[in-house]
Formats: sequence, structure tokens, C-alpha cells
Amino acid sequence: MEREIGKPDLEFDARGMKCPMPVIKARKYLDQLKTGQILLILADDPGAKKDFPAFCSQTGHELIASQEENGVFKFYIRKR
Amino acid sequence: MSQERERALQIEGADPHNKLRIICFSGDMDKAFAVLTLASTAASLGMDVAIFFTFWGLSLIKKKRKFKGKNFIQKMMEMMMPKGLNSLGLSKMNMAGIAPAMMKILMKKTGSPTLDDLFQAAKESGVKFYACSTSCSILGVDKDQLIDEVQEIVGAATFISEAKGGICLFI
Repeated sequence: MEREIGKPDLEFDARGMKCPMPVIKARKYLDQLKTGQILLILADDPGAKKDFPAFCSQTGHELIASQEENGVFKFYIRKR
Repeated sequence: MSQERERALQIEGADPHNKLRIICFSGDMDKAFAVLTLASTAASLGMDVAIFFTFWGLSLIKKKRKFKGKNFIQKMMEMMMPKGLNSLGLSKMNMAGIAPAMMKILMKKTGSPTLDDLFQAAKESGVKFYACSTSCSILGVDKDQLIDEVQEIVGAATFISEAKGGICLFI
């Protein structure tokens, strides 16, 4: 996955956090990045699956890729 | 104004519809979770968010108990109402305060955010807090008794004109 989209500039491990904390904290992580940089988010809250696509469509950041592995969701988000 | 909000305004060209207004009428712990979860999440999504606290909802934004300057009935009300965000009861199955304590244990165990976490998140993401003027005067609550985050004590007309075009929830 990382070979195609490049190494993320920042990683946010939201595993163990419950809704809405992953989304709220993700915003703070994105605030630290510059336009075009990539944030990788790891989350295991079941709501995260749809929450991050919704977060991206609402805020305009680009969801480049997402995958699920053993109940852990990975989201690659490019800051706009 | 948060960075996210500024960006959202640029993207949507200052869309007045991109806002959430919550009337927080209840002073129950469970409903406070709904209020603060939705407010902090919407603000993180770049929406302009304001909460209008009225009646029992004033318990959420009280700094402390205060009896000075209140009449007899207001003092009695003050005694019977929760003293702040962390002493709210549940709307159902309160069991004289045992259930809220159990709820707090459950939340800690499952790693769920507490009311304080959510309040902090709401504050940091730029949610605005208003108190209802009539509720305040009925209950004898003044600005000193409210937490510093409350920007203003406002009336119904202010709320209605401010809420126009946005999502509005009554909780």
C-alpha cells in the first residue's frame, strides 16, 4: 500500500478510542500538516469505517486509500 | 475560529447552511453526552456550532453552587439541581445517583470519552456556548455562576435569527 501512495508524513494511532474521539483528534493531527501531506490513521472503533469517509467529504481532505485488517481500519488522508 | 472552520468557509464560500445549533434543554448525563458528542464532532467537521443552554440544561454550564442574591425558592431549586457537568443524573434508572457512578465506571472500562473530554474537545474546536436569559433569571443564575466559556446570556430572538438555515436540534 505504502509503495503506491508514498510514506505517510504523520501517523495517528486511534486504536482503543471510541466515537467521536478518533475524528476529533484526527482534525488536530491534520492541523499540524501542510497541504498535500499525508496522514495515516489506525482505528478500531466500528463507526470509523464510515466516519472517516464522511469526515473527508465534509472537510474537503482527500481520502486516498483505506483498508481493513483484523478489525483495524487504515485510512490514508491527504490534506487539502 | 478553528483552522478547519476557516478552510471549510473557503471551500464552501461561507455557506450559512453549514452550521449546527443545539438547544440543550435537559440536564441529564445521558443527554449531555448526545449534546457534547454532536457539537464537538460537527465542529471538527468544520461546521459552525453553537449550543444554547436553557432550563435544566443550565446545569451543564454551572461553575459552582451559589446561593447569594437568590430568593428562598431559587435557593431551594439550587439545592436540588446538579452542581455542574460532573454531577448530572441519568434520565432513566438514576437509582439515587448510583447508576451515573456505574456509568462512569463503564465508560472508563470501555475507553469511551467522558463528559469532560467531550466538553474540552468542543471548546477547543470552537463551539460557542450561550445561556438563555429567561431561564437564568427564573433560576437566579448570573454570569458569575456560569463557566467562563459561556460567551453571552442571550434571548430567544437572538437564537432564532442565529440559527436560520442551519441544522437545529432540541435535546
